Order: sequence, then C-alpha cells, then structure tokens
Amino acid sequence: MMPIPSSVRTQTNDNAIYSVTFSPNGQVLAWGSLDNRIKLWESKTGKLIHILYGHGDGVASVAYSPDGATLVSGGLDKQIRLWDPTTGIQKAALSGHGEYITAATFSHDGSTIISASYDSTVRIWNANDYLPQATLSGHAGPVFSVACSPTGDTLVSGGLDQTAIIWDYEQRTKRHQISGHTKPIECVGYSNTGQMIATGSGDGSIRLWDVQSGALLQKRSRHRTGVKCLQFSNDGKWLATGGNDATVRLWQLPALVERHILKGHSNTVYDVSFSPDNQWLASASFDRDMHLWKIT
Amino acid sequence: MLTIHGREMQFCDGMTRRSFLKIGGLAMGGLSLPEVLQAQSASGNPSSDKALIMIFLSGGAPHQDMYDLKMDAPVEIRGEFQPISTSVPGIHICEHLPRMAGMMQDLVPIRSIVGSVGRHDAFQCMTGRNVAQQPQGGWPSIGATVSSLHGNKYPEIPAFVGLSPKMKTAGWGDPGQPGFLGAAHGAFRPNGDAQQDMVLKDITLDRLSDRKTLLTSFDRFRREADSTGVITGLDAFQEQALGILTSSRLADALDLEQEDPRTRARYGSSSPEPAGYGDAGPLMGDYLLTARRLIESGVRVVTLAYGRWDWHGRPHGTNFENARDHLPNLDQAVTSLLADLKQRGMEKDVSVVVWGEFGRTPKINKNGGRDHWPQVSSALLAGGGIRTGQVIGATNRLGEYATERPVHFQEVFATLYRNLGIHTNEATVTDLNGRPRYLVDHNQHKPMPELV
Repeated sequence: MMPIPSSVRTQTNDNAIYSVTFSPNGQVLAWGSLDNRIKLWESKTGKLIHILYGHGDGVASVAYSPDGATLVSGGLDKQIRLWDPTTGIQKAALSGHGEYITAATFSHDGSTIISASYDSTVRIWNANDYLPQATLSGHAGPVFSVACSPTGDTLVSGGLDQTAIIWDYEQRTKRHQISGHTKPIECVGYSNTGQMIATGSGDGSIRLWDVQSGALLQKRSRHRTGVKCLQFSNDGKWLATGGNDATVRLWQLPALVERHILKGHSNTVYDVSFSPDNQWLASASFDRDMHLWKIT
Repeated sequence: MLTIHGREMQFCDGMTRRSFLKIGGLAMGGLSLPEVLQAQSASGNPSSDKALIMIFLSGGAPHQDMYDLKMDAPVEIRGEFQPISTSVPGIHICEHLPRMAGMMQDLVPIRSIVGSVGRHDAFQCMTGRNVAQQPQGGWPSIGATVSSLHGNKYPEIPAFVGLSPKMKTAGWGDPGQPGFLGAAHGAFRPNGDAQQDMVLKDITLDRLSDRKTLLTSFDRFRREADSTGVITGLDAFQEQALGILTSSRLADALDLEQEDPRTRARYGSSSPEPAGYGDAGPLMGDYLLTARRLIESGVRVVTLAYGRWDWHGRPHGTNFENARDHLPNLDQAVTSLLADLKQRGMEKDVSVVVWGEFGRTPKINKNGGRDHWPQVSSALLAGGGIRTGQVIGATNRLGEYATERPVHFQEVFATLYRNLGIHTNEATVTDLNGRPRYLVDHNQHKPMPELV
C-alpha cells in the first residue's frame, strides 16, 4: 500500500502553469505556462536549467520524445514548437492548426508528433522532417486532449463535444466514438498496456474504457466540479487525476479505487505527471504552483 | 528639458553638467520642468491635504462574482462562488474577498454602476465622460483636473502620478489624460515614460539607483554652479525645477526599499509580471503601497491599473479560475492599503475607488467565461470621509441591470471631487476656447447623498 503522499517541494511561477512533464530519464521537469514560456528544472534540486522563449501566447502542452532528445510544446498561438532540451534551442516551429493548440505529444516510437486543437482536428506530423502527415476530423468542436497508445496502434482524443474518439493510428481512421460523458472531455490517457483508456470530464467523472471494444469498464465521480487532467503510472498500478476542485487524487488500479486526495493547490489542477520510476508525482495548477509529491 | 548654458563642468563620475540637467522632459508630457511649474503656479489651493487613489481593474471585473452574488439565479448564471457574511450584518460578498468582508464597516460596495459606454479602456473611469463628442483637446481626467485646480502641494512633488506601466492595450495603461488642460497637468509616470527620462547620457538607471552617489553629485553641482554664478539669473521656475531635480522627496516616495519589509509584505504580490494572459497590468501590491507613499509625500491623485479582468474563458482560464487567482490578491492589497491609511490617520483625507470599465455577462459562456456587460457594473469606495459600512444599489435576480439606485459614473466623480474639496456645482476648468467647463454634468449628477 502506498504511504500517504506528501508535498516535498513547491515551485511558484509568475503565471498559471498549464502542463508539466518529467523527462524520460526523470532528471528534468518541464512546464509550460500562460506567460508564454517553458521552464526546465532539475527534478531533484529544483534548480532552473532553461527558460524557453518563442511562443506568442500561453503554452498549453509540453511533452518529451521517448529518447528525451526533443521537447515538443503546443501553444495557444496555434504553433507547435520543437526544442533541444539540453541546449534550450528551438529546432522547429510547425504551423497548420487554425486555432489554439491544446495538446502536443509524440507517438510511442517518437516518429510522429500528434497535436489537438480548438480547430476540431487532431493532426499527425513527421517528427524528422516536420511535415504534416494527416488531419483527423471527427470531433464536432474543440479537441482538448490527445494521447498515443504505448503499443502504437491507436490514438485517443477527447473534446468539447463530450465524446472520445479512438483512432486507428496507421489507417488514420476512426475506430470508435465513445459517448457517455455529459460535459466536455478534458483529458484522455492510455494505461501502460494500451488496452485501456481513461477519460476525465467536466461532469466530474473518470471513466475507463476498453480500447478494442470501446466498452465502458468503470466510472467514478469524486472531483466535485470537473476532472481536468489525468495520467496512468507506467507500472499500471495507479491513475492520478487533477480537478477543478484543486485536488489531486490517486486511484488504485485495476479496481479504480480512490486511495489518496492530495491537497495543496488553490485553483484548478491543470496537469499531473508521474516520474518514470513512479516514485514522484508532479502537479501543476492555475494557482501558479507546481507541487512535487513523494508517492512511494 | 532644462538646459543651463555655460562652461561645461565635469563631475567626479564623468557626468557633464549639461547631460545631468536633461532630466524631466518626458515625465511631464514633453514639457520642460520650468514650463510645468510655470503653468502650475496659476493653480490655487495648494494647501489641501485631500487626495485620491484610483485602482483601475482593467478589462471589466465580473460584478456578480465580487460584491453582488446571484444565489437565486440558475447555476449557469450564479457561477461557482458562495457568499460570505461581512462585518456589517446583512451585507454578503464573495467568499474570495474575506478581508474586505472583515472590514466592510469601512467600505461601500456599489452594486449598480450604470452609464458605461462599453469601451475597453480606462477613459470613462478616469474622466467620468464618454470618449465620443469631446471638446477640443479632450476631457481632462480627474488627476489632471485636481492638478489644475489645486496645483502642487509642494513644488518638487507632482500633483498627479500614474503608476501603470505602458501596455500594448494602451487604453488599459492610460493613467488619465490631461485633455484640454494641457500636458502640464499630465500624470508623472515613473513606470512609463519617466523610465526613459531617467537614462542620461553615460548614466544608466542602475547608476541612478545609487542615490547616495547621485545626491552627492547633485550637491556638488549646486555648489559648483553657485560658485560660478550660473544659478544667478535663472528665473524662479528654473530654480524650482532645479529644486525638484535635487530634492530626494519624490525619489524617496518611490523607493520601497525604505518601507518596513513587514508592511511591504502585507500588501502581497510584488511580481511585475502582467497578470493573466497577454497584455495586462500586474497584480502588484507594491503599486498600492507606492500610492500610499506618494500621497504621504504630497501627490494628490494616484491612478494605477491592477490585474487583467477581461475573462472570456478558456483556453485562457475560466472566469472562476481567473477570479480565484485575482480576487485574493485584490482583497489583500486593497485591505492592506486601507488599514495602512487608517493607521496613519489618513483615511478621512484619502479617497479610494476600485472599479473597471464595465461588468460582465450574467450567463456564463460555453468557454466558462463571462463577456462584456456595460449595462451594469460594480465599484468599491472607501475613505475620503464618506459614510461607509453600507451597500449602494441593487441589480435584478440575474445581475442584468440596476433595479435600485442606479449610480452613474459621474455621480461617483461628483462624490470624489467633493471629497477632494472641489464642488462640482461651482468648479470649472477652462477649455481651449476659453469656455468654462464643469467637471461633471452637474445638473444631472451630484455627490451621492448616501455617502456625503
């Protein structure tokens, strides 16, 4: 049983933090924030490594490539930017989305970049030459979140239309369109096996779905005013969620039992990220703070 | 610019006399200091202690999430917040303003401000006027008007200071314009144009911040200038200008390092970062503290922009996320200012007004935000000798319009002027055509009888 997590470190930004992620080796924490900047920190010490400037509006999403050599950011300036996290130098800027970008991440093998936007599309870009590969249309409204399966066969997206779409990654076609939430889907994520996805919604519920069939597996409602973010631990044991109620919650899998409520934020929790060794959880909030929680 | 001709004199730090005296051009709207002083010498009543601090909530704050919660409205209008009781029985305000709730006996929330022209700028909050159909030269702001009518309290202290930084959305950073009263009555802007002013040839702002060295240089300059007879023959205004340049009073007021750190900490955030996204004033408690210090030094009107309240919703945060961010900061900064004024015995002389250009839509939009709503907004008044501990006005169940005691912007101005010792049924200023202009539409708008 996990001991009660405690906040080990709090770092305060000048503005709301929208996205936080550990590097694949766990040594760096990166965050993107409403002040248009990305900051990279030594995860152990909290020492600032780089500030990345370039976005012309808030940075909604940051993610590392699987090899850790590239950081991708998605901005409210409609741009995707790619950075060398070691030097802090921007490698490329990708244009194409017609509206705010809400999410940007790498595919499981790092060969493509996947992005989601208020323009209602999910887009796939070649991670080597940065050329657009595909535009996936199917949502009836802004897409708030996208994730790529660890097995590389599917993508999942969720958005304002209250549906999640499971896409065939190779065919770039829709496999399932999942309904059930009664408010927009704010966040999606894959379990470590890729067999299950989680969706979190403004209706306050977290739902687990079978990827192959699209069937509902579990549903829980605990976050009082909406679920904003979620992430599975890579050992398959935990799901972390963050909500509009300013709490972070840890759910034990596979039964999806709420085990811990982490309190410390004073505003919506915008992102959560497990460290690769699953010993730490970073949470980022509109209250301008990032908390680092020790969870094992 | 003030320029003294004569032989060039070198200071110990390499600064020449001529470059030393090229100060004060931009800060006063492009006039040289002697010209400013000459214009201000025609003003009357320099001895008044009355003053005003105006805190402008740029972008239009949500009236129904601050002082006028609509708990009987449907949830799509009511929003996420709960009311809390205050120190005055029967008055309830938002849960995120607990300090204001605790000192409600010293406050007046006005729930029914009407007459907004719906423009995204500070003009109406600074003048009480509509930007349309202005007289030649434009309507002067309250700061410029007070500067004109009362003049400087002390020769070396400007009557009117605007603390807002320059912003891309220029209207939000507007400290209040001099209008037809002319640049002599414009705001001194230490965070705006005056910053450029302070960069002399070969002298950087860092070096200027070394005040001890600077004042030593000033003293030496005066001694050397006097000994050469250069000062003889300067007219009175040039001598006064020199007095401003060599007096530390204004610099001291702006220097927060001289404040007790515990007092400074009470005002809250000191981050100069723009609040919210994009272009905005900072959530800077230091500005309110600086305003108090400036008033103590003799400034009559200080204006400042605080935060960014134009919350249309995601992806730049919902109305409620932004409110949870801004309201506690505002709560802390304003109540600290008021407590500070009271502790110093200044509360009856100093009026404080907190407001924005309009309210926000009752119905929350699909992005979790509220849009512009000029039909009604709210304001907070304190100080100035008004009768506090009461709410003025009311809106309908949904917060759409005033149902009781609509209060026009110009009534607030009439009240503020009255607090400043200026009677709006008598006082006039002269426009560029020589025509006397009342400060408000005085037949229609008078000081609020509930307050004075």
